Amino acid sequence: MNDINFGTVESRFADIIWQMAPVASSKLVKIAEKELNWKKSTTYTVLKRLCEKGIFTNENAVVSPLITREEFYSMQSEKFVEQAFDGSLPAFLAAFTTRKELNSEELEFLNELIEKYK
Amino acid sequence: MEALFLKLFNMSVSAGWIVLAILLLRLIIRKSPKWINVALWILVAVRLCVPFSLKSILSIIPSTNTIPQEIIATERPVIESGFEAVDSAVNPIITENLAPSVTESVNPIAIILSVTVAVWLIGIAVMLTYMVISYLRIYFRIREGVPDGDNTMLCDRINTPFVMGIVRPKIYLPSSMDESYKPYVIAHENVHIKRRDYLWKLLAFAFLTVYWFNPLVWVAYIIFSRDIEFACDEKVIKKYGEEYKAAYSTALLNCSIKKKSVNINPLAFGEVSVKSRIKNILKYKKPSLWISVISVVLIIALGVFFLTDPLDKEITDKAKKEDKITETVTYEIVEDTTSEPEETVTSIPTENTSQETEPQNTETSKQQETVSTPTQSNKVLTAAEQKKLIEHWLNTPALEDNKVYFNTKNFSEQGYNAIVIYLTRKATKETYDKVYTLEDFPEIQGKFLMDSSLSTMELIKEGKMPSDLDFKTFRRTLNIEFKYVHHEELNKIIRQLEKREDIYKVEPEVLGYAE
Repeated sequence: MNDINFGTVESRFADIIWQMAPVASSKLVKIAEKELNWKKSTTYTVLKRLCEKGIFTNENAVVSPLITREEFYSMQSEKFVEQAFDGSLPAFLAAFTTRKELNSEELEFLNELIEKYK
Repeated sequence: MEALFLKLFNMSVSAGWIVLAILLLRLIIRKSPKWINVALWILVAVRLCVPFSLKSILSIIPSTNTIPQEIIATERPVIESGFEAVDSAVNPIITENLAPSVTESVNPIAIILSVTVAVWLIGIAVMLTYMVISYLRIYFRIREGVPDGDNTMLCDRINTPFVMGIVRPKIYLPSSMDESYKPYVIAHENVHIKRRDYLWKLLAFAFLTVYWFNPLVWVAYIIFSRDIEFACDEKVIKKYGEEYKAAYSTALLNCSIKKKSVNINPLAFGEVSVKSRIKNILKYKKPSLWISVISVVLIIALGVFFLTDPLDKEITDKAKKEDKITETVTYEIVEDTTSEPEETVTSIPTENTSQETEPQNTETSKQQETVSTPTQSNKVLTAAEQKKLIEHWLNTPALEDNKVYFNTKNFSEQGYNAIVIYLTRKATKETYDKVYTLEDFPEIQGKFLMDSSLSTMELIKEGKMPSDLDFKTFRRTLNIEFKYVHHEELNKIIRQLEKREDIYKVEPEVLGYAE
């Protein structure tokens, strides 16, 4: 169901919806025109596609999300870790930190997270 | 429409020669800058869209009139390929099998031509459909793009950068493309825009749509599309310098996608021969002035050789022609035969033959005089006209040949009453007296002759030329009447007559219809 990857443009559009949701579709069209330079028909086409993928829904001309942005991206990241690190989160973190160091805030956050899990 | 098609066909044959020459030439000028290759294709384009040209002796084109327009209308259809060998091989076949016969009501060449034109039009429709579909497919993808600069758009659903648009062309970049390649890609596409390559490619495809039947035009299109990209790469490097090469090549390599054989609209960045392009980029050097000068000279020379037409075939052939009748005087004494009561000379709406005025072009400046059109059986010459005729006929110098000239036209399928045979004689009194009689024509003897024809035979036998201008009783024609002979049988006779040495042409004419 969420076996998709957003392209840059699509993700911008999705972000707009997540930001404004729930939003009347007509208003969404106006925003899309302003932000993305899209025609009305284009907006509806892309919206329909996203609805078919189960991310948003357009009922009674109101667009609202079926999953939140966090949920969506966490699913994406799960997929990613699965693909790239055989599902091993430690491996991912190790790889992540070789390139970017974690600052103290992030470290503390992680520690708390681990505590909760224990 | 048929005439238009023939014209276009001949133009594409001429253009085909240029394409071949260019393909050969490219092997020689491999080291030269690539804009020359593009410029050479302009010659082809000119040939394909300009229907006329100057004639010059320097022309290398074998023939600009491969299938002459007259092929429909003439009795002896031939092609003029410009090569003796081809002509002499092909033309006898055509003339024998496809010449219009007097007995069929349709000209086989005309049928073939109509079918060909129909197929051609269908081909054009197919090409246009392909273009429209391709465009629509791209359009639906790029309308979801977002602006990303002055004339750049970012799109999710495309996999290679390209330029598109006629009035205000825009650069379309895939959103998945690495940011670092952007400046190189944009540099490349901007060159395309500046040079209006998107228009030239569209024009080239327009040519392809019309001339789809000529495989050399396809070759030209595909190679031209490639050449544009090479020339574009070179221009980018020329503008930004040697240091640009590595990064630019990397961008090109990483953006390369699977090649489609023929694409029409966008000038895609990574579609064409990426490997060769990179090689070319890496060894590119700014060309010296010399090369540019030589290139221009080369192009002009080729222009002269290939954009001019060969001199008229007739002029060159005239020198070769001999044994042609240098003068033909034909006329018909239009008169109902006094001794044939049941025959009414009706005016038959046969076509006006142009055979009398056919190019028996003479080396001498003598004019050919055809007086009345023999088809109009009811036309009666005035006294003055008749006098003029006789005088002219007596005063013209001897003809080379003494050929019997028969006048043919197309018939209806019914039987017919009379064949009128027109004599072409030497215009002297002596030879005038030699008359052909029926004995001279064993092909005709015994075939459905009517007695009444003999009366005219006797007139001729006596060889009398009237002292006065009483044309009513005088017949200059060998009037042989066939009654109720089937047109197939007559056709056979005519073919036999045509084969004779002393017969230049056989032209029967209907003077009436059998019941």
